[in-house]
Amino acid sequence: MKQSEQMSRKDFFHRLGDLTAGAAALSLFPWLEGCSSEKERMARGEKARLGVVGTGSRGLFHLAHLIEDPSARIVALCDDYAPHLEEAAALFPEARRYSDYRQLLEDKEVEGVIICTPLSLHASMTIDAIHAGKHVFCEKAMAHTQESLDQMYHCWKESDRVLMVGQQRHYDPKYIKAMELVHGGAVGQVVGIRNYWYRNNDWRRPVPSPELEHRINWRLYHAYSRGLMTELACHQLANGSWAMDGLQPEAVCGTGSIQYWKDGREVFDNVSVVYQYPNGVHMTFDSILSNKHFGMGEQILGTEGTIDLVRGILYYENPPAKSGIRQLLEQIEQGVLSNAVFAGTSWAPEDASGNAGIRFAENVTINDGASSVGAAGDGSRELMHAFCLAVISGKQPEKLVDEAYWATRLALRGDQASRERKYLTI
Amino acid sequence: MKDTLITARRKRQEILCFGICFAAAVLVNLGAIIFFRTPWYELFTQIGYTLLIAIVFYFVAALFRLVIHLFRKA
Repeated sequence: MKQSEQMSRKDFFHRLGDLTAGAAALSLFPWLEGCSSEKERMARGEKARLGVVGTGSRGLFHLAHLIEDPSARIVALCDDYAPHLEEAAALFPEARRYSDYRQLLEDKEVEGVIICTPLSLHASMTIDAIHAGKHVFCEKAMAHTQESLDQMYHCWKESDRVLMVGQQRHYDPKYIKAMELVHGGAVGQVVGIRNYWYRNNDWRRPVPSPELEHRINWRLYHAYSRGLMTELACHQLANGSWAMDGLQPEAVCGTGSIQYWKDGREVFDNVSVVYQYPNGVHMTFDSILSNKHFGMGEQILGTEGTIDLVRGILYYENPPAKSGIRQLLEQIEQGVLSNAVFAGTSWAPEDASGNAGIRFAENVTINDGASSVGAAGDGSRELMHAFCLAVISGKQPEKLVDEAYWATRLALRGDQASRERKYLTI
Repeated sequence: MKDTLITARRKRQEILCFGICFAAAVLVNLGAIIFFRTPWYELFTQIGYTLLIAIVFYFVAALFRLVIHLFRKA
């Protein structure tokens, strides 16, 4: 084995191995079992022979991880848009090239297919790939409609093939640690889940000629996408069922509009959706594409504390008091003793953010949201590696498809509720 | 540069002065413990802060002594 491969494996072990070492983590997150050191040893020296369908920005993002992965070998590439295919072929010149995914599915050497196409194609391509006997990694969300989602799910359920979906938070060490804390009772009883995603950009990609508008900017049109709900919310809604230990919302209401980017797009540029769980807990999702100040946030609110998943910080509701002498020094520093207050305002903003919290994850990268492709250290690399190991072993990571199914279902239902402005049962 | 001589008397004086400053710092810590109703073991666990305050007191005292010395000399 080459030195770089050894280093790469070591790195994977470092990031995931520590987490999968604990029996508690495996019982909470059974899909990590596929990345255990035992599985790593079994797979050592073997390579998953993969074909990538859709070599646009997201496909290239995954290819950039796979090129460094010692368990991956890219044998085929497919895209019906020649410039994207050529870009990927430059990275993997030995891979066979196809312009029709059905030709790639007929390629006997391909064991696993990675589907990074527009959302509306996910379900049909996955079903065709499973019927062709391939293991599949499909980008999230799983499907464009509830019907195609159910078809895709049942097709996989009746097969013996591996299916994994691009919900990379399930492999992000920071999120795994956070969920361990939630399930370990660190925040007490979960009483709310708050998600938001704010950006200030038009969400467009450059189009070389007008007839390519729908093919390249497919996220903006109903025929191919459900907009903010399937492209952004889908990631964050998965946190809800994860934190609620599999309990799913029973109803959703929402609203949305195109208020700023009136450029011919069909999907909303801002949405606000609320999900209700059977036990009364609410999960919210807010998104605006014309203000980025608050960025992205995913928070689990409990009676004893709050977990900021994005920043890897735990805030206790009642943090341990500082020592007397530190309180005294801080008061002197703030000049409280020399500025006695005789009368307060009748209203003042309530803010508990003086609590600095406890950081539970290291090396947290906060991105500015400018890229809509993916971010470094977001779990995508580990997810791709897990798919390679699953292809080699032929073993389906447990619970993962069910988690992804519910994330997509919630996103689709939330989209419907916000477009129809209705309170819908799920 | 000429050699300086620190007499035994001066050493005792400075040790005594720092001891008084340290005792004052312990009293400040004790006061903070009572005022903020924090555990008594902070008398020991917060020894770092106590030492820091003692040093600050010592330098303030040194400044005060220097001013007195200059007045007397004038």
